[in-house]
Amino acid sequence: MRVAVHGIGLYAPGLPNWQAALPVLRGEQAWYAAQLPAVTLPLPSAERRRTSACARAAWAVAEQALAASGFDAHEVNTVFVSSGGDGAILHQLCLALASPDRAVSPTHFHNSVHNAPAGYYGIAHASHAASTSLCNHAAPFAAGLLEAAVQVVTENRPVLLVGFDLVAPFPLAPLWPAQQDFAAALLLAPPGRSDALAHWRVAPTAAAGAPAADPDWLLQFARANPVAQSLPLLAALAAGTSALRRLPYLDGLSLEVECAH
Amino acid sequence: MNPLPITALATASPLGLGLDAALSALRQGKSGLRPNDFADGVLPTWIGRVGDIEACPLPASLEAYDCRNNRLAHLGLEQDGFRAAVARARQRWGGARIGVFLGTTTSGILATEQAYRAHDSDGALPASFDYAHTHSLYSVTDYVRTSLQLAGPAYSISTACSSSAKVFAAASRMIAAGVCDAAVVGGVDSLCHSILYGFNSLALLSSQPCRPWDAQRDGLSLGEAAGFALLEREAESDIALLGYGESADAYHMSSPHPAGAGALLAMRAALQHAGLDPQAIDYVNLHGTASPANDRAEDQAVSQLFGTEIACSSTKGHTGHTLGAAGITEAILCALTLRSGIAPATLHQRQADPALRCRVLTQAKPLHPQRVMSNSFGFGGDNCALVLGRTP
Repeated sequence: MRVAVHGIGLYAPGLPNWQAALPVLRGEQAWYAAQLPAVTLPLPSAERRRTSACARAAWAVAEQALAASGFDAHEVNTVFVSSGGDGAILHQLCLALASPDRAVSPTHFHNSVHNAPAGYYGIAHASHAASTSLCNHAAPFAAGLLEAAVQVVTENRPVLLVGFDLVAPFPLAPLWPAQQDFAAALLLAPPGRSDALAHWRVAPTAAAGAPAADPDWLLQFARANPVAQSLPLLAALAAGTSALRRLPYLDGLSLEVECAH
Repeated sequence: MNPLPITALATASPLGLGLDAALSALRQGKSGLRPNDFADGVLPTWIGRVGDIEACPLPASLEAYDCRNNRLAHLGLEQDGFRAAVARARQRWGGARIGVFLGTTTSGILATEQAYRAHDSDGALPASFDYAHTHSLYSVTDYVRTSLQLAGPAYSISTACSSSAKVFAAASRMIAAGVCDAAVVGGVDSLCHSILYGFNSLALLSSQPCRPWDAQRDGLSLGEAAGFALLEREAESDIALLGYGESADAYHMSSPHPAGAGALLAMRAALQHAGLDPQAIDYVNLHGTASPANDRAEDQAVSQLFGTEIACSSTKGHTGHTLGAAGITEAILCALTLRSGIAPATLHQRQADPALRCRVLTQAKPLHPQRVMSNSFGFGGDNCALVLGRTP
């Protein structure tokens, strides 16, 4: 499957947005963990107050990728993906259910649906475009990228892939797939426009292993957050050179991405 | 799109185990709802419960996945010769060419709820608690893929109540793109406190068996179910997926657009995708949750697109709202309608809501439809409509 990359979003400690992350991803600056700027969604205040940290992180990367692409949100399908959803909301819900009266906050309940970040995004853009919200415990980004590429080639329209995984509070934390916060987005479209940032060939493959060596900080990040398994791809985009990358997906299955500029 | 053959189905729902039990309940207008007796059983509501889950342990080799939701998945896989059909497909296409795409809203969250109640004095969760295998939203898909010995692409879709309708769209695209030759799709959601107390917090639970399209309808009955379908690129089959449509409401997190604007877009997209006019559809299985707002919005959207003569029913009175399993459960009931010719009733109606215009069947009726639509609309405004039909 051939897709064009038209926009990239990033929101992670030390990588607060795509432009600021470029020198780090190119190896020109060292990575260090810095606090992330706050994000707010353009919603009426009552609704804005109810947004979860996951919804805000997803919004941050979605907006970067969308704005860079020049596409109108109304013509862009969305694929939201994480390893298993929102750990902070799950914690609140399970705490409440462990209390004697089991009284659940309505806001926590409606934020507990996995498609809440997608819902807020759609409301903020007043976009009726099709949207899906996926999970794959160990390899969410590969699962989401495959889905996004399949939608680009079968629906013949741009697709915004939004990956997010945030840390969970104790006592969930040690069991949670994300030990660092990380969110990334890609705006993928059918090839054709001349201003694409890169062209990718995406295909599932039985071949395993990373064909390229990445720096330690990046590999550590990719181990600390399943969505950060996208970092080798993002580093290849930042370098602006042709590259072959394989993302781990499932047992015996990787996702191969051949990047050309 | 070209019709996509549906070569096997399996169901475990409050109507019973297997397709025959479900069809028999549809013919008789029998409800699977009962007064809430799940866990603490405190909330005064009715539920659709699958009675055999507790007595259905997982095979020893897959014990790590043991939780109510995966037990329900297992029970579903054992029905209607589904495993044998998947084994045949595996022989034909190879396991790596068969994807697994399942819908769920809460997967095995009950396991985490129980772990939080059993925490130790330091607040830590019990050492035996295995989040990845029992609760993760992906665990049910992982379980089914492992159990069926499949090796193709896989993920869970979790878009609230449209989850297991959207799996048909996902599989259809994967096959069209050449990534898969076949796919196991479906959905599994099981009763848990999060959902019962969550819907209660929104004042959306009825204290009676739910009454879609009734003048005094006052909310949902929740249910649990597992359902599966096998889709293959080319195969002999009597039923096929003809089209799908997806849209976002972009309106509110937990209320539908009042005029059903998003629902209408999804239904129109499904027809366009199938290359059909509204007149080609003979029956609509409504989302029909029996919440005052849902039925009002859906009524407007359906009557605007199809007029007020087309036969419709909501089967939520039979099964309860099975959330992430609602799309597949209703797709299966639609397949049974196509096969048997019997369109199901909308149960528990005492007085039709005079403000609603759709022609909602209150008795099961021989209709012999050729093509049907199934609607699924979720929290967060995520909508999906499917068109299923008899193959000529």
